[in-house]
Amino acid sequence: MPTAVTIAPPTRRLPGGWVADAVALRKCITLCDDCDHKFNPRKVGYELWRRDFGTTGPYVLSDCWGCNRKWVKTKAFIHESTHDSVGDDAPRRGRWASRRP
Amino acid sequence: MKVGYILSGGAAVIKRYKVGATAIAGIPVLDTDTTTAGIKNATTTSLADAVGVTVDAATYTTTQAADMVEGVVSVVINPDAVLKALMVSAATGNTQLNITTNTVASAAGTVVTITTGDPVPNSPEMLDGTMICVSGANVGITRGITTTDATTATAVVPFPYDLAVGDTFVLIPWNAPGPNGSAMTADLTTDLTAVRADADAASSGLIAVVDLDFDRSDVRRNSHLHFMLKDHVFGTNT
Repeated sequence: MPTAVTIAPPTRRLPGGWVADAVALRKCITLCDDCDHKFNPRKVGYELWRRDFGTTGPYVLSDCWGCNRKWVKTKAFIHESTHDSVGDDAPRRGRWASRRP
Repeated sequence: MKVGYILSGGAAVIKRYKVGATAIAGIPVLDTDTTTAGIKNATTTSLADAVGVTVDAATYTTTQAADMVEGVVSVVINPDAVLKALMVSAATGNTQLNITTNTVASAAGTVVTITTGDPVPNSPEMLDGTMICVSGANVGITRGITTTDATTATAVVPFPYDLAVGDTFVLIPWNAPGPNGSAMTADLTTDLTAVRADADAASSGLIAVVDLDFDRSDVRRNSHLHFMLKDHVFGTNT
């Protein structure tokens, strides 16, 4: 069970543990371009969040859950259970075509 | 509903806010009331002082526990975010849009006369809305509704072909960008994820319609409304 989740990451926690807490809660996770390569979304049932039209790239403005900096080149990842609610409607191709049940 | 795009072409801004009620992903949320813990969900008839749209879920709790999880939800807060919501015809679920079957031929191609039992064009009011032909010679073609009464909906710009008895249409109460000076409104379904095309708009949430997204292969089940939250705390707050 994840520990207390607050808006700011808790103290005395490794960033990876904090992100794992968010994964357990199926939260939207935002990571900066220095941190996102440490996160494997497919492995934990996540996908990159794209706006429905996907026309302006994957980046959002937010604070990074890894290093906590506020950054303009942040990627948002959503849990696949929320794909139908907030994900894009674009057809998936290639390896993205199959989603976990 | 989901964020379709940002009108300015910019990136989405995602903030995390404490919730004052349990929230699900893909619903509009409103600002915090005084003496409450956080933002609140929109209601089926109000989008006043909107903050944005959620992209994940949060559970609100006031129960103290060592392993408690505070309710915090991620929200896209851009006031110019264009939201995409399924258009439905009931308070719950993804009920397909209502159909209207023409009972009087219109050689001018302007007047749709309902069949008894069809939704009445002026209750809920479809004036300044849009009708799209689903079957007949004009299939897939839309026209703005400029006059309504209890049995007819009329377009001032005619359909290109005559309207025959038995032609079917879908009528919705929105057009894009909507009449100047009088805001468009929308009622939401009870789960706050879709917009109701069958609702009386008199007490509904203020929206600015950006586009009508008809799926011409399945108009009734897969048509979406693109709109912005007109009363937004980071935009034009009223």
